[in-house]
Amino acid sequence: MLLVKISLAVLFAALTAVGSQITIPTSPVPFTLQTFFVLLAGLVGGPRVGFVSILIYLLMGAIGLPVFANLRGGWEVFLGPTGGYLASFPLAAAAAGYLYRRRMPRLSSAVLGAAVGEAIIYLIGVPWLAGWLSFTRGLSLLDSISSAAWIGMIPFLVWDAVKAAVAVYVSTRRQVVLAIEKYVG
Amino acid sequence: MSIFEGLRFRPGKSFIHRIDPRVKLSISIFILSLAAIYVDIIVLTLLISVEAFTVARAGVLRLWLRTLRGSIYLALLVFIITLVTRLLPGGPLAESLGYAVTYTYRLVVFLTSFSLFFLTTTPEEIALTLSRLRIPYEYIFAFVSAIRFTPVLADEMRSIMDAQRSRGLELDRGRLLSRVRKLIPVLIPLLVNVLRRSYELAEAMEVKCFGASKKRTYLRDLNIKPSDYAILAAAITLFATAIYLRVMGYAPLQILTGLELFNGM
Repeated sequence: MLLVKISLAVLFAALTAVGSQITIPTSPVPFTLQTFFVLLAGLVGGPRVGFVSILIYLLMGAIGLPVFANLRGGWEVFLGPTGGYLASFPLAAAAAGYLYRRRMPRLSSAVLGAAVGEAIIYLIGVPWLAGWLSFTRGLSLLDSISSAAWIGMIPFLVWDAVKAAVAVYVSTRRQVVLAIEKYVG
Repeated sequence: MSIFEGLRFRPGKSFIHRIDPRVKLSISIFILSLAAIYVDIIVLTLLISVEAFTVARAGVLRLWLRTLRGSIYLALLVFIITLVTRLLPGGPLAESLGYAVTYTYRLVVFLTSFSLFFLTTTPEEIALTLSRLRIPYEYIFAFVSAIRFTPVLADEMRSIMDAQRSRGLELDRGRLLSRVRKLIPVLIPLLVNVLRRSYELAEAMEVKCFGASKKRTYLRDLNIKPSDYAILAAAITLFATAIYLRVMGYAPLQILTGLELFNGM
């Protein structure tokens, strides 16, 4: 059983690296599937596999492989304005997996898991961005939080809801649930 | 999707590639630590020329320059912050500029110090190095196989996309929402394949007795050659000398970091 968990974490890390490059060009914010695969790793793999696989994915990026959205990579990305989002991914995957896998394949628990996962991404990503903004532009704390929300949250809300919905849909499909039960248990 | 080709490590046969990874890792750490204790344009230039020379000899100069480009924003940021924090309390412009340039330069050396190691070391060698650092093999295995499987999964996704296209799925047309919906017939087979593949991978690991014995051996082990010892000895000597000089208060051109250059003129 442990071996399946290890290999699942391996494949989900690779899948997230590949899936993060699926982009649909939209303006002003490009639509990438990075957070979608983060949620999916948790929903399908379960909390521990989700956490570990996304951690491996981040490590791949940290050593300089171009695996983050828009082919970015390198440990300087973690220090940049979007570093908080990256850091939140393993926790988001773990939370989504924990909430869904307790009562799989119930739709409501998948929805709850995806929603909490998204919330965690914003809860860590936006304050980081705010701190970054206040540090670089010398804004006051309140100003930087509101501008961080405007830059790093509000333009993404609709697309993230769409992505979460697709993640919920995919992970509650019969084929996928059967495959989880058959191969992962 | 040829972009994933970048994930395949290009094995090199250069002299630099053949240096023991532990030696290269130590050199990277030395460069990082020297950049941390010397805020001095001359020393930093020396360090970055060592890096540039090494990666050029290894034939990965272009990749190295790409990591440099990636750190431009962060460098710019540090430049502005340093400049502003020096200028605001009423520091003279020349001195502040000197500080800003040096601190930015140092950051660049910082960020590129490990590229030397990563760009010339295969994932297998990274794994061997990590295992010598007593990191549990399960983690190392997971990390290295994830890198190996990324191009495989990219191929698989491409085949599934082609298969669904041949059935008439128009992935590249339509408005955003309908394009997202069209991804579902790609995602579900991909996901089921990933689940099945992970089961097969686990079986393959089990058949090969993964984790059966506490002490793991490797087909190719790390062997330190005499030339590696020579390089390591040279690096340690240089590093120790630099530390000694720093402790003695030596900083060849501290004037460049501060006011003296501009005052002296």
